[in-house]
Amino acid sequence: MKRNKSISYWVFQIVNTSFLVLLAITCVLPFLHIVAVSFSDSASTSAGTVGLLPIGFQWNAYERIIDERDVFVSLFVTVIRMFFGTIWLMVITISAAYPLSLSRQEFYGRRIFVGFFFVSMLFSGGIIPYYILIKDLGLMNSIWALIVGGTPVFNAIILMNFFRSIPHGLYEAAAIDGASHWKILTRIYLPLSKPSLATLSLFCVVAHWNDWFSGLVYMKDKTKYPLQTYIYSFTQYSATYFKSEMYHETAPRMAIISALNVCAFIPVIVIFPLLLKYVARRGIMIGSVKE
Amino acid sequence: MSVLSKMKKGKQLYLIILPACAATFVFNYIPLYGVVLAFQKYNPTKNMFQQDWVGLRYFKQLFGSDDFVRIISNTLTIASIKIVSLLITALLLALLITEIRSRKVKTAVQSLLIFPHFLSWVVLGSVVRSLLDQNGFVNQFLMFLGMREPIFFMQDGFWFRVVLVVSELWKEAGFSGMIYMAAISGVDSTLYEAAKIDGANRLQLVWHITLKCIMPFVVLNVILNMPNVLNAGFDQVFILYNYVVLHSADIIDTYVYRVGLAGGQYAYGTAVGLFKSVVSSILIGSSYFIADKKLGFKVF
Repeated sequence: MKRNKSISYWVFQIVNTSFLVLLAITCVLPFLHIVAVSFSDSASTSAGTVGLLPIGFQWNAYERIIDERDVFVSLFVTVIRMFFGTIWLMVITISAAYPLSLSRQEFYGRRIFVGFFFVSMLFSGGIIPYYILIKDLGLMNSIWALIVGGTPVFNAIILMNFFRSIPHGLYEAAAIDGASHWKILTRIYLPLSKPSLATLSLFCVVAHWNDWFSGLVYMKDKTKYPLQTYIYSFTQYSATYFKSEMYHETAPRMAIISALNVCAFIPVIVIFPLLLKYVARRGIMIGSVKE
Repeated sequence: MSVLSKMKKGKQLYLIILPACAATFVFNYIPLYGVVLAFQKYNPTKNMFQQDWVGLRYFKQLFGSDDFVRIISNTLTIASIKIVSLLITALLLALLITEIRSRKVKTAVQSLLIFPHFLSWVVLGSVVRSLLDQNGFVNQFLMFLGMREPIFFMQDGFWFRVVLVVSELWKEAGFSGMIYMAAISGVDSTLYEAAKIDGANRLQLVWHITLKCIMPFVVLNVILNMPNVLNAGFDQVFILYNYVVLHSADIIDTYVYRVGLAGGQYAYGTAVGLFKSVVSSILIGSSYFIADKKLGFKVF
């Protein structure tokens, strides 16, 4: 059977594979460029001669970042919000997913709750009413504004579908033995859905790591910015930062911005293998929603 | 069983679902009430429930301004080009990557293409801006190839939109492609065997079997993505744009933020946002309706 692979097939294989490999490499080259810029000196960054290797090697940019207390404070803010924000979202996701995964006979009033969540998917108030809500709740300039909020519905649907794939006999057996819903959820459903829970939490962690907008809107104090907001703000208004010293004499502005960006994507690279492992699973989960 | 005893039986379930309901009520339903701000004169010393009414004043202001046509047409243009090009690129990538023979190369290519999806626009925006600067790497490269003048990617309306679309593909095409690949790998392999025996060539296999089998999934994705014609990508545009390209890059979301929130015109901004929300919910509602009727897609 192998012999019927024609010459044209092999030509296609070679062209196709090399095209895709080149494309994939091109997609990550820009990140190497940023790393190179972060290690280059002032003259070459402003002349634009830096390619994929640093020119006029220096690490002053990283030294400047390490000296800056605000960078560490923003990292701390990010870690705190990641931790509590993920717990918050997972709790409300599970809270919606378990009852909704049951049938109408088992969960009396399921339809009303489905309607309640469905309406919240259809309509949104928009950013300004949300801003005013945060303000009226007194969460302005508080890290809680970065932790709470968001909607559990989309994650809840994914988790609900997973709960439904758990053999229903387990639920029935436990119910006959007199287990409460709380017991069924915590002793049967949650332990069985660890992979799904890990996937959803991981995506939530990445979302919190990457979020910069809520920091910009709800934090009035620059010292309370999460890391991504700090980088955004530094990139936009770098003239007002590091003003105590003439930072551009020791490290060029472009190098510092690049170094900050490198700090922002290194952790993503570190957990990337884990993300890849779960992403395939999530792809399947999204695909299976159609059933 | 009476209603009351049925409810009593499920008492614990109501307790379990309470946190989700409370959170949804506070963070989704109260802002829904908050849209009444579009019909009020906002006074920051009072709370949401104590404002004075002004009727349709802000909607008249919106529909009467030149900004309205501009932001609507920018949003629709940028978003629809993005949606169509992302769909085509992702499908093509999925089909081509599946054809790679070596499993290792396949995984490597896929991983590299997915990577940018997990970074924020803050990081990607810096990368894009640094590469496309008039002195940047891309322009240096084009000059090296023999171009005389650098291209002002970030200052020219046309080129800026190209940058928006291409950088969006850079971030998302690999990830969307992976979802289609999951669908492709689910195609029944006996179909291919049967077609091969009937003498089908590779292109015919792709066209008549792969594409045909994943079509329902693609159509579902298109339908569910339809409401996104109003989401041209706030993060990306907001981070990349500047005053020079405002006329061709300003979208509804950036307008609401800049004029409404940052500019302090809360009520007017809410009116603009409400206009978008209403159109958006009609689109979302009808896309779910079509997906349910045509493809039997159920949300819950």
